Amino acid sequence: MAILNVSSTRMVLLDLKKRVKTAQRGHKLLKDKQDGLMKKFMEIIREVKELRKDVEDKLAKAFEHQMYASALLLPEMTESALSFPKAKMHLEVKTKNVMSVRIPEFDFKKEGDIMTYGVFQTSAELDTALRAFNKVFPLLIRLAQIEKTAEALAIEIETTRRRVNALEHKIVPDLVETVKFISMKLGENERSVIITTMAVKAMIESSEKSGS
Amino acid sequence: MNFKIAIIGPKDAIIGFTALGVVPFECYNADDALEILKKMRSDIIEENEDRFAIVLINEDLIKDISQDEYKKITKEALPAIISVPGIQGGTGFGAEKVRRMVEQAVGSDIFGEK
Repeated sequence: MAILNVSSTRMVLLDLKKRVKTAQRGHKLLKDKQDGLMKKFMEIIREVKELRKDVEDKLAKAFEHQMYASALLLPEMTESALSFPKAKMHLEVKTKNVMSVRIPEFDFKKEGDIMTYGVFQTSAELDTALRAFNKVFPLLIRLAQIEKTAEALAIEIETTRRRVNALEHKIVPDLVETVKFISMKLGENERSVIITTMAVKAMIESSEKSGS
Repeated sequence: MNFKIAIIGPKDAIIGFTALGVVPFECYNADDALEILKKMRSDIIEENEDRFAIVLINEDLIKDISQDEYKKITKEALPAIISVPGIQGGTGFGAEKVRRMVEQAVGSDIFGEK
């Protein structure tokens, strides 16, 4: 705890008292924000964890099919079969504001057929692989949304926690200490003035007595 | 404004997504991947037309990108950068990232090994 470097006057004291109040209020608000963020984060992080596992498993299966397909086909054929997609993605993005954290919301629509190649040159495995990719894709979008949300929340929680701690352990105690120091000093001054006045009065009185 | 989805990775890991209408970027090492990511951001600032809202990136590439660079890229609300496992299967990077987020937010790893 350190006493702030200010002059000990009544004006500064009043000012500091105001600042203590503001700091305490701010601390309370930030603490509430931290709790709110944490609640949201906990809700989401579990989902992220499960969904990620799910997506990774499903993607692994899709890749497996793709691998079988590419084993049966020439690489050029696979490439030419897949390189000209007719399917189109429409992705809409909204950003939501949760406790000053900007969170994206994805909304996507698919259009067109994903199978845009001839049946002659390709194998059925490729179809299976593509269907698997197609199926996992909405999950992937969802994962993108919640993982980004969790990431943004984690960063915000960290900074909020720092602020709360700084207020709680540094700024508020320092202010309180300084307020105490100044009020003591003012009290001391006051007593000193009274004593001086009393001494002066006593001197005057004694000189009056000896004079008369 | 039109939002797009991109995928960065080696050819065999991205070709399956191409058919779904995802914009592919073929890339084999972390430095190139970083270049692509940075270029996406500067394109966003310049043109303001097509934006990549979601960037899927191969796990093998993203794990070699340094933390500082990664933080710079993911600072804003968009794009959402998501790691996907490659054709060899998951490397555990995704789970590791979740663990790191929990640690950052909570202060300790509460989902750790039991």
